[in-house]
Amino acid sequence: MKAISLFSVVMLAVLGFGCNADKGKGEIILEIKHTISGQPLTLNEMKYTNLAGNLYSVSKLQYYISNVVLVHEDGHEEPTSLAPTYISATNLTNDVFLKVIPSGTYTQIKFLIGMDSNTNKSFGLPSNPENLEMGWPDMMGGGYHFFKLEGNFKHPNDSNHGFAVHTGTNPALTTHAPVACQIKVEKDANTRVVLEMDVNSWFESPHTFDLINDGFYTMGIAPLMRKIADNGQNVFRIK
Amino acid sequence: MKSRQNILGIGLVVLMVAMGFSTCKTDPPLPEPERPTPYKLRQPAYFPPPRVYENNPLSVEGISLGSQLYRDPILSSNGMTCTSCHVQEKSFSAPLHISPNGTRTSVPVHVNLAFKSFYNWNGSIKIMDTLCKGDFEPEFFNTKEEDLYKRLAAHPTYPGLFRKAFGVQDIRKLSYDSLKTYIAFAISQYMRTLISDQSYFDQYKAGKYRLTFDEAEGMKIFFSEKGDCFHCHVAMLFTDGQFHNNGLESQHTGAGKGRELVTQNPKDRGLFLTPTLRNIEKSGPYMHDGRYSTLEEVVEFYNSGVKASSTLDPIMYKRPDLSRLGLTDTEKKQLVAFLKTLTDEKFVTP
Repeated sequence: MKAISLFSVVMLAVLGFGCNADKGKGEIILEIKHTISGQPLTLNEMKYTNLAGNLYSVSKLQYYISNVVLVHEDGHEEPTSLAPTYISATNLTNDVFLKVIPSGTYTQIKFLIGMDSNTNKSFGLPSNPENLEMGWPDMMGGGYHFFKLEGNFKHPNDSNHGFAVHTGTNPALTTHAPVACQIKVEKDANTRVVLEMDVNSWFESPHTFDLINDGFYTMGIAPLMRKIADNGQNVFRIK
Repeated sequence: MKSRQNILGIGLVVLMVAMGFSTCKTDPPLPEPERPTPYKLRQPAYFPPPRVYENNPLSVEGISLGSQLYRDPILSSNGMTCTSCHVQEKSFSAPLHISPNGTRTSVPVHVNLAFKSFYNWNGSIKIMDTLCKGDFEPEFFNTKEEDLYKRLAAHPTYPGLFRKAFGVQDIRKLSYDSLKTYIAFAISQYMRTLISDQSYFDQYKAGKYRLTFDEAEGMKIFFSEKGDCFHCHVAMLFTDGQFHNNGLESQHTGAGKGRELVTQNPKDRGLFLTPTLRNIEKSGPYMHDGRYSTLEEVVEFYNSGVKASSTLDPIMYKRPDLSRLGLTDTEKKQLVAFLKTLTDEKFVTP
């Protein structure tokens, strides 16, 4: 009798594991694109106008995506193992690979622009040139720049005035609003999804950011970094 | 029955061993071809990984050859060596170089080159292995082809090192371009080993050196918005390896066009590769054209002399009044004191 019970338990366990394995895992490739008014971002062209009316160009756009969480149809959340991932508008492509994702349909993506305080430590990321360039000095709190947007804009006193909008340190972390999506992950398959950033959104909502009146240099200036971090909450959408 | 099986088994083993010995005796292995000894480059903490040159991997013999050639006038017809312009006491740099056409150049240092992606002030070279091929030209070594072959082939150690490092059996059978390439490869291998990571600042980071008050205050200026040096002079290489227009001129002409001369893109006008600040105290004069002789002059330029132009780096627009960092005389001295902590005495001592 005892032997039969043991056999039953083992069989149930095997079958149980078998069922999980059958469900399988797949991969999502987030293909990140940068646009302004629906058009691909062109660097170093003074042709963009933000909500405040600043005519501007972009020479640099760099940031991290981290803590990506997928939300199932039924609302339960599926964290991913993605480490903070560096994105740059000068990269030929910006594909973010979300691996070992359980099969199913996901209706939202959540993520940070920057990284949480557990990761945001000086030299906490591998010392590759990108991460080193994104370093945030210990003197100013340590860790990494979360976001850099640089370029030139038309200033009343100067037709070609530089701006450098940087955020860093965890009070200025951007938690992006959940991005609605319909992503079906199938076993052993790749699902490619375009995640598109509208660069102008960084100047729009909830704070209209005016490079002339608010400032054209934000690093270390907490109120300005907070405004930009707030504005970063709604810059992405699934295309 | 069992003992019979045992006897058979032992017999089989003896036979196999005997056959093995027999094979060894009649068919000795061929001698291994001469291969260079692989060399693993030291990886300092918080440095990026070194670039990998698959066509020219580091070897003990290649580095040894390069080290000797770097210092040997055998490559030139005028007595020059690499060390004529890359003096160790000056962090493998030199006082100003003036080209025949009058172009003034602050000789780039040979420091931590293994971790870089571009070479020369305007980034004209991307592959370090080709960096020194230009030095055979009249402006530098004025190398005489025939003499070079003769001297190298007759040298007591070079032919052996060429053979061990690159498998070159006879230098005289190489084409001139191949010969120069192998020389450049060897020198490149040596230069990749020139790693500076033991400055006072490094020692401070390791808890082995206490910064003076001025050095510590200067470090705060360097790594904060006060001086804002860190955006381009990124730790720990103290360069971001990128090109910037730092505001030396409002108009750019001649060599002052910088990166534009390589890319032909007007948006690169006046951009130059960020130099490392490691051993900066030793490697003046400063800026691409060596216009400043002292670190005090350099700091004063950033404090009050930045000039606007269409390609000025956006990061330079820190204040409404472009060219005013607003450092006091004391702060300027402190910043210079910190810059001097980037000196690696061991590295600059022959």
